[in-house]
Amino acid sequence: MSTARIFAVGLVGTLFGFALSRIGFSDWGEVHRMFTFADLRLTLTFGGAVVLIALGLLALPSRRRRMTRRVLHRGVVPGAALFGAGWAITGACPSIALVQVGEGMLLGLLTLAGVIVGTALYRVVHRRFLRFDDGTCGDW
Amino acid sequence: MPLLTEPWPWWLGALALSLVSFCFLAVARAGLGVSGSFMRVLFFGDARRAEEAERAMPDDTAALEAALLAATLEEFGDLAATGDSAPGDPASAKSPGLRAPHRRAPVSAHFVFLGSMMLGGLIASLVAGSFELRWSLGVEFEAVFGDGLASYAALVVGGVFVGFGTAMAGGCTSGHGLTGCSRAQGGSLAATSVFFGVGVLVSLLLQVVAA
Repeated sequence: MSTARIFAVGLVGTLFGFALSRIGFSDWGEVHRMFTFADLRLTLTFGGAVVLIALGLLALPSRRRRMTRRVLHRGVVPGAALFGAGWAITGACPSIALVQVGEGMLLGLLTLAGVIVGTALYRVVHRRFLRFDDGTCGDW
Repeated sequence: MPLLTEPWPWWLGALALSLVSFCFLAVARAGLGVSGSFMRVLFFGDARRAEEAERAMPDDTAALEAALLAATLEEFGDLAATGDSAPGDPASAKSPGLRAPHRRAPVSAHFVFLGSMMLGGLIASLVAGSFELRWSLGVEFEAVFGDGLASYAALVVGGVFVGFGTAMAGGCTSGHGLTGCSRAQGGSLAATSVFFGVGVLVSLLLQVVAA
């Protein structure tokens, strides 16, 4: 990948972090209000994004859609449940931990540390014990 | 300018996230998925080896097809199913065809992506005037967890849940939520419903605990 393209990836990432921050996904209180239905703004933002992306994809030729197959394998439900719990506690998904640190909220570093440990731990656990087929041939 | 200081209305946020999704697709030639990026960056050795293997693969797919067909027949003999050839007749076996291999985004791109997200947060908060180095996630967090060691432990443990859970599920809010759901992928629809649902349950629980 050319340096120019990698720089472009950096630009997109900056835009992503910027948007997540401006929307309020990096605000623990806002995320909590989303989950307790006290405020629907974040939910609508998320749902709206999914719809817009789906519509946009219809305009693309099929080979450009990059249809990565995301199969409902044995790890999906328990993994998602664990993730949801962690998200409610920390107010962060992997993206947000990074944005929080960028905003100066240094506690995000603790969340980030946990995310790194958890990700690495899973790889070890999956290869040693939970050797189910997740449709990726181990290509993560 | 309120756009830089006030939280964005839902439609603007939706527009921005979808734009990011398409820009990522165009630039990285891959679907957006942050937990996947974390995994690739943490185990960059694996990713590097995969990239090297891809580079070594011939662009000429005919040679690759022939080699794969030969290996399949050698392994499975007359069990090899080859479409319109007579079953059990390897001599008439034909390959079903092969697309050109997909060139993955290199680890460096994923690393830059993660780092730049942090930069995006910095710029956004500077512009909004809310940037401040602080050991706090806000009053709502402290209402539930306080501001002592227990709150720090909660964040680390919660973070482990997030890291482990997203790796196990094969995606997070961007990977399953945005990329997968928009493509109506079964695994993503299931994952998103579950992580959102559990997020709701745990949050309601925390609300009770805070009271």
